[in-house]
Amino acid sequence: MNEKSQIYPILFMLAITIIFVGILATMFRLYEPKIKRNEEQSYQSQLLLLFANTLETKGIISKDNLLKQENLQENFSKFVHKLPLDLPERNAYEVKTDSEVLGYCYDILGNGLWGSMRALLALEPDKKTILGLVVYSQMETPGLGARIEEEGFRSQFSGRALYENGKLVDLVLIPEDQKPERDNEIRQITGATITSSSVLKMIKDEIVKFDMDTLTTHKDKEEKGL
Amino acid sequence: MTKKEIFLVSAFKENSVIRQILGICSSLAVTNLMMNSLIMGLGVIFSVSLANLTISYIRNWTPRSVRMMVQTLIIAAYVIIVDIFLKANMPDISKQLGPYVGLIITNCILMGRAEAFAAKNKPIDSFIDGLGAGVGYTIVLLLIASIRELFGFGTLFGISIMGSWWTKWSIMVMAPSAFFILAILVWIINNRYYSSKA
Repeated sequence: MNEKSQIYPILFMLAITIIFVGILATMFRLYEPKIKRNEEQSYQSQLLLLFANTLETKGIISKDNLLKQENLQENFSKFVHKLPLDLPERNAYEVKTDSEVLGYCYDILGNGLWGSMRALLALEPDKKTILGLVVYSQMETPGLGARIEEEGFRSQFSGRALYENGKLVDLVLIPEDQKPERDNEIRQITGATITSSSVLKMIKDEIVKFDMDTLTTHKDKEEKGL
Repeated sequence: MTKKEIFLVSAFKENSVIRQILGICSSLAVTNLMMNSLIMGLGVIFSVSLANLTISYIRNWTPRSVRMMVQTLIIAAYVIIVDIFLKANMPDISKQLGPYVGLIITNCILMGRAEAFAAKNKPIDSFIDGLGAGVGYTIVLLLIASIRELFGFGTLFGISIMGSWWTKWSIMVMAPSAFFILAILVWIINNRYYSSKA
């Protein structure tokens, strides 16, 4: 066929596109299960990690055993049970053994400085105290805002009371090098004030939403057979 | 030009970042950590060399009117291969690099080499030219990253160099610092090595 003809460039482009898209599609299909498994494993281990201490102190399972890669899937389905929820894009889990409820975990979302972020918020069985927090997806500045993922920042939330006299507690930020004096003070990350306060705002906003959705309503509905 | 010359010209004499000021976006964005820069550099080396090879192979059949579309398509295909590979095998690094791996597609170095070299030279030569361009890019990235990571985190490749007494410079972690470092590098290197030309 003549290169100058009108139809040749179109056919050429079509052929090249089919070849390369074919290669990409095949490759993606080959790796798809592995990518999915990676994402799932990282999510499951982060959720279980929040309850690792509780499970260990109660003598149910040791931290190492809980988070061992080959046991991860099994442990997750054993201890974590998804709860029905009306809020879009969010999830709620009940973490329990056969005999007792160990706590709840909310999969929450909020806005940071550069984009949205997602976190897992673990609560004690009474849903009034934070057990732990982990931000598992964010787009903050690496080295500054992204440090909300680090132990030093997120461990501060463990053991915080959410309510005082029936009202939501307002968590406040204090400079990173200061020692918290009151129960509601959180050391912020220097150079990442917006991100730090976004985390506090996210927790507060989401708790209100989850409370409104009241998981108990679902339980009531189920019991009444609705 | 011999193959060695092609490589040296592409990597150093006509370094894409320092001499042609191409690929600046990613030089600013991913250079806060050495590891990120290295992986990014390897991704670019892989994509640019193979894209050059492929584009050069089909250059005689490619109609002029659609050659840029073909080049972009081929570059994009290789970059997506890198992206999928990282997601499957190095999920942590893939997460840190975020959207920047995908943005290799729009890195001007790739299109530049394709148009300037691969579209009119033999496949093996084009491959070497791409390799050179990628290596040159990686070296500059690592240079910037070494300064930023050392002052911003006190570490190199995550290994502590400065010790705990070091006060981290927040500015080094953010993109503007790369802007200044890159500009200073371009200034020094151009003055020192290319002044006679100018």
